Amino acid sequence: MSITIEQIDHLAHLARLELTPSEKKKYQKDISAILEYVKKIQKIHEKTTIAVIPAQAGIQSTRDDIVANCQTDEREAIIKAFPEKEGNLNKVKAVFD
Amino acid sequence: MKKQLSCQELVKSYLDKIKKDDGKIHAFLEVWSDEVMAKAKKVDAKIAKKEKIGLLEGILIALKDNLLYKNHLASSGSKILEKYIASYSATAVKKLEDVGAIFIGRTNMDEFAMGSSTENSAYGPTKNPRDLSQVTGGSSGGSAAAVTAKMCVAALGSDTGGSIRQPAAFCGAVGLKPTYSAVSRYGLMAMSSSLDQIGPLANTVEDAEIIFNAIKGRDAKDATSSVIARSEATKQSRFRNDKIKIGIPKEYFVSGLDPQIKQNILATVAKLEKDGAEVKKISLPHTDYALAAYYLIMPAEVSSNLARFDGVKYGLSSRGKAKNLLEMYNQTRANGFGAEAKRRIILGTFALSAGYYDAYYKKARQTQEIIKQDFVKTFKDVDYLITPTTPTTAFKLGERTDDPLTMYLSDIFTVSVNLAGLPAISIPNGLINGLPVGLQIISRPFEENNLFELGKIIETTHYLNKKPRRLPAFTRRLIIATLGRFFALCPNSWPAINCSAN
Repeated sequence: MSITIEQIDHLAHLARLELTPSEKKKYQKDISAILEYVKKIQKIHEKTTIAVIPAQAGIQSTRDDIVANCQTDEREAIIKAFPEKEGNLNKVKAVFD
Repeated sequence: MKKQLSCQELVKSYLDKIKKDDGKIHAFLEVWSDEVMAKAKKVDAKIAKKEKIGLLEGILIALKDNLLYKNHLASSGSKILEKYIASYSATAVKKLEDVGAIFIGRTNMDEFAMGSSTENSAYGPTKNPRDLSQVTGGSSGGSAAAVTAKMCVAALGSDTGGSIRQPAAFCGAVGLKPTYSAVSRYGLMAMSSSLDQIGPLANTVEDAEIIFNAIKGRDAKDATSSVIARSEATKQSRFRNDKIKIGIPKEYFVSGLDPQIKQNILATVAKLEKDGAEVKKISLPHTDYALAAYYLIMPAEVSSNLARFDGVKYGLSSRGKAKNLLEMYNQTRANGFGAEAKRRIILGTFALSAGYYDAYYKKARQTQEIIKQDFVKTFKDVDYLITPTTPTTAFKLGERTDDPLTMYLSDIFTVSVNLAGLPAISIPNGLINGLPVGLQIISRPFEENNLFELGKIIETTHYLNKKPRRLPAFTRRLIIATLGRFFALCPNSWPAINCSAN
């Protein structure tokens, strides 16, 4: 299947990714070719149906929900990594204009 | 034991080697020289004082750039994390540190482990130490090059669709992709969480084995990591015959395979047969669908895992021209990600989007189950599968960068193992036109030990880095017979997985 520039625009918006016009053209071509290749998986299901089992089933496990404090040096390192901060607070752009 | 070389002398010889050769190869993104020398000094002092030393005391190990090592840079080969400093260490890294290993530096990789040649690194490609005009493979290309150029003893890599085994094959290293869940993924930057595994690259099977045994095991910080209780599984055993059985899947010896590689792998299989193994031709009928399923499941998980790189909490943040939060997200990601990361994010977003989810992602997951069943059935008849690791030897730099689909095909023999969650090892099996060939052995879940045993037999047949040596025929037959007896005790089904939280 081939994909349109409008679809690329929509996917880029969903993925929060700004693309240049040349990138859009390139990805339209690349992704159309990849989808053409991967569509072969549709074929094997014409004969069989199989239930989807959650990825790597049986090896998930849970632990008790216990609040544990972060180590001081780890906390400092995390705060230090903030791109912009006020005191120990992480500063971000306004959600609305 | 007689002291022949101090740890400082040993470390210095590796650092000198890096200084001499890495300008050409570019295996490392950063070498922690001063820190490494200071640690070596401490090791020497410990030995002088006759203090207890760890299993890997003073052994130099390189880390793929997507593994966190506390207070060190970790960029995952990406501009978006160029200045990111890890605030904690990955469990696998911590376990090696606890037994005395010294980390020499971080190795180059395809951005966020997405690639098969290390050419997708934001910091330039790594070149194959055997021939600088060829790629190393990827995504753990820096680790494979560092190991085979003898710039470290061993390295850690990560394997999502072949990213340890394929570069190991191209460079002539041993590379192990452990069973899914055998090694904790805590502190490994996630690419495709249901497929990723950390594993070793080394110059010998024994080195890979030592490192695997040091890093494996249940970790409370990774809910998918498991403890396998072999004793429970063997209770249901039924007697099987003494010979080890090797399966040769016909779907891996098809027209796309370099005929010289085919000959090389089958020659080794013939030797094993002569030494007493039973060789059976088998079929994994859905192999042809594996790569297609992989290139839907993996990008779907990539699009989700890479959503966290948005310029808010760490890493690159393009705020200059952005009017609001949404523009900041869009621009940060546009400036920070390379072409392949963007391609897979869009592809994955497509596979998960309304209207296409059922036809693509869901079908891919169903295909994954069918592929897994192929292996379950096959392992009722055989103990191991032997295949080539890659359809060709290393290719030229730049040869496949313009065509993503051709690049993806380099993973055709490795992705099924990840989809089925199985362990597999790539062993150097000689050279073709001066370039290494990788032989892949696949086995049942949690049977890494058997991969090592058979791997040791094979590496003595075609040992790349030393003069060829062979174990005496009697020893080879003895090992093969012993392995056969081990399998006789094994269940004729997948081992049960014990996930009790610790």
